[in-house]
Amino acid sequence: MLTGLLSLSACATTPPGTVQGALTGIGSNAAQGAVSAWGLAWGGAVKGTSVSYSPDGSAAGLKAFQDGQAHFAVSSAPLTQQEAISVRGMCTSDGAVSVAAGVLPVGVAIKIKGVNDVVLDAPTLAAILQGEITRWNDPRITGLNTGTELPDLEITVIAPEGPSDTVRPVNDYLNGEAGVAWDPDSPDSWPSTVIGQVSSPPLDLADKLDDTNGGLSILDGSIIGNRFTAAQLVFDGKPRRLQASSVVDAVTTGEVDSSPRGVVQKLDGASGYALGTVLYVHMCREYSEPALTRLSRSLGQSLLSEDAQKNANAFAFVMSPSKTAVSEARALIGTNGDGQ
Amino acid sequence: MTLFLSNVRRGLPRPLPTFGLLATIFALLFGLWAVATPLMGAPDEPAHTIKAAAVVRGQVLVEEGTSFGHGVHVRVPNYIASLHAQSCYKFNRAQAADCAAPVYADDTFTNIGVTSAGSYNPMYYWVVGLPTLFMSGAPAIYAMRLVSAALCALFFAAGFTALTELRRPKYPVLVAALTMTPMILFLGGGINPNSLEIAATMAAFAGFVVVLDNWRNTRRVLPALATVVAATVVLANARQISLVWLLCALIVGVCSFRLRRTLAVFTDKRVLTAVAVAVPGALLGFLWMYVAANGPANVGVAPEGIANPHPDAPLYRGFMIMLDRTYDFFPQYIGTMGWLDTPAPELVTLVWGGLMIAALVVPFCVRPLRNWTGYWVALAMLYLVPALLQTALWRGMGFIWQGRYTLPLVVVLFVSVGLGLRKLRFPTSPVAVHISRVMFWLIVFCHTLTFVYVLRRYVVGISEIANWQTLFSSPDWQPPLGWFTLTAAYLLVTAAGVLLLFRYLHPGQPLIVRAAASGGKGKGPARAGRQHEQPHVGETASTMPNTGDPVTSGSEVKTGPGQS
Repeated sequence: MLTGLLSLSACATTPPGTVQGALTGIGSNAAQGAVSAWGLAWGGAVKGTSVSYSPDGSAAGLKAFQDGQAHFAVSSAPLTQQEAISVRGMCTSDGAVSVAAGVLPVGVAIKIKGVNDVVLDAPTLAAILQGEITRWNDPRITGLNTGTELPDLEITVIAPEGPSDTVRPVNDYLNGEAGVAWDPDSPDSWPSTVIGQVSSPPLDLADKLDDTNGGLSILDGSIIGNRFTAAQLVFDGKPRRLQASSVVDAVTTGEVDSSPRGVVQKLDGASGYALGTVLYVHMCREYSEPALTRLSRSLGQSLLSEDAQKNANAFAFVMSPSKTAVSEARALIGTNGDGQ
Repeated sequence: MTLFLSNVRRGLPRPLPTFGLLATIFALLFGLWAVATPLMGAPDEPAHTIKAAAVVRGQVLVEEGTSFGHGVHVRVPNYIASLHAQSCYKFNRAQAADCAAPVYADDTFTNIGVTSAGSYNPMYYWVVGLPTLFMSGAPAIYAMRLVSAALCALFFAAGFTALTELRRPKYPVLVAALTMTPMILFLGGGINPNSLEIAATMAAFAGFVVVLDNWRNTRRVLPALATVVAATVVLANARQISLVWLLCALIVGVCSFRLRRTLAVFTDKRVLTAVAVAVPGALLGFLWMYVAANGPANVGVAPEGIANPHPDAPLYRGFMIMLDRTYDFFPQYIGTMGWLDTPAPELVTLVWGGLMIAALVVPFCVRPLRNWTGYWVALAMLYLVPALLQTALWRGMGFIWQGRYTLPLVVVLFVSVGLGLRKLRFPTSPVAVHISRVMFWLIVFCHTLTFVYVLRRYVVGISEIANWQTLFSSPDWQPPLGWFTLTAAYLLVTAAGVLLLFRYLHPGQPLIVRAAASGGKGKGPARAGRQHEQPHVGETASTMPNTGDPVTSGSEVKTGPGQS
């Protein structure tokens, strides 16, 4: 037995350039499925690699990243230039970069017996969330749904309590519409006027919605699936349905902002369904350990690969960023650690 | 080796050599499993290995800001921190272990390691993590396994040694030996306090019943008393649930004898001294629980896969599901290796399943039923305790129970069957000896079959086609020393252990019957047994006071365990 153990000393020295090991990430709950899919693809492509991800929320992820408790973080917003430069943790003085790595569609899920399609626009949705519209047969809703018979049924709002990564895109949607007074305290929190806020994990919210005839909630597309009806939302004057092709349209024509500190993906409501959480991965520009730089660069390149993006789409309903965004993000991550 | 052979020839010797011999055999069995299983192939092994490496580096308490939904973050050498990346084959028994990357000894920069065992009592980890302070890479992790295996071996050996000190020990020793399923031996080779918990519970129970059995002369069983003390301290400082198993073991022990005997034992000065030694150690365990419960808050909740909570589910549902699944866990008691991905071969499950059912049914066949109080209580515990514990975790964690968690209680249950049987005359007829011989070889075969089957799973993967030949022709992965050498060694050690047990139960009888000794083919075993039986029993009775056979001569004595 001892001989066997001693024979293992043959593996004493790491060959130069070896990429293997485990990376630890913390961040958005909405990114849990995507990170899992990326990790699987990475582990399959690069022997001896794995990702351990804790979906404790974007804020917790960024704090852990800055405190040196995580190799990377995932959130629904990019780091600002100042934030990226000032990140230390496990990073060198070069700070961090943020790249858009996926888009998780968000929907307005409704549960009304006998009704399979509802159209809402921004002012109507805002009025519902603020308790100004309380019944499904309110004229402002029926006006958008001619031809659909909506019941005289109370609307029960079951909204995820902020801060939340599914709240952020809804805030963006409602903020951007003329005539809607929407003033949240922070981008990922509801205005205090929003009713029905529930502090429960997304899957519990879905269970509650399932038990509530007349309910309305904000859920990500992977949870809505075929389980609930997702309201069509009006973008640029046209109702858009929550479906993969429509989201892809909004992503494809969405603007991409690139800088040495990151790649930002925007959604274009003029061409598709533009309600979605853009998932940003934050990594060090250079880690204090060269092995970690190689490892994180490998993960970054891998998660933006076609296989990983397909995995994320299949397992977690997360869409790929646009080709431009992917290409620029890969190029940016490829330069990580160039100073080492 | 000479000592070993002479011990085997004589049957089991006195406590200290017995202990040494048993500890050696258990250490070899666990050690072979430790070497045969690829790194991180045991359940939850990365979390416990990382925890151990952190504890020996002074990270005993959970620090503020290091507790996250998926576990506690610690700082350990990178070859330890990266162990989660070794698990490419887990949950997929068709995948050989060659998908895992080498663990390099120079990969030692300090990195973040994630452990879900962050708030566990550090005692086990302090010991098991020691090799990482002066070794590195794969050898360090194998050394950690061997240290853990040695710890478990000590407690199993102490438990069995204690059982041999019963006034009529043969049935308890036999049943306890049969309880050493392939699963228990497999767990003993991994880094996980679960295995120590099973060993220490067995030791605590065995030591306690021996003390109760020798209540008039506790001086005679001081080693057993010391075993109870050591096992109590270890269980109090293992996992929180370990204290539940300790309590169960003590209750079953008390119920296996008359209450007044227990009361009398606890007035004995040696027992009181033992209690005085054990209590501070146990209090340390409680102190740790308090510290852990008041540690820094977790910033998140455990992600799916680690926990699947049912916050609104009715509690009775969790309880009923567990009751409903009580017997579903039996295959896991026998052998579900790896990350619950490699069940033992069906034949092995059938053999042990048959033995377990027979053991569970025996108390219904041997009157009076009230003499089996310890067994009834243990059986009720097997139903209720896991169900209650799982119910308590149901809303927060979801359904997390695995058969291996219950193994401490399973061992207590089956040893209690042996205790109930101990008043019966141990059969010595040639037919009984021959049946015993055949069964013992079957056990050796089943243990070895399981070992090589699990190796096959890691060396070439288990496929739909019977790919045994590829073990020889094109192995994808090899453990240190190679699978064939390990299997041969395992066969030898298992056979040695069984030979020792057989000689103990049937003094003077050979486990292998030679044709010349039997007087001709086809008649060997029975005749051989008859030829050797009387002289050796007489001889052993003088050298081994606790074999128990000569004490009774009828098929069943009139006093049962509760009346002795």
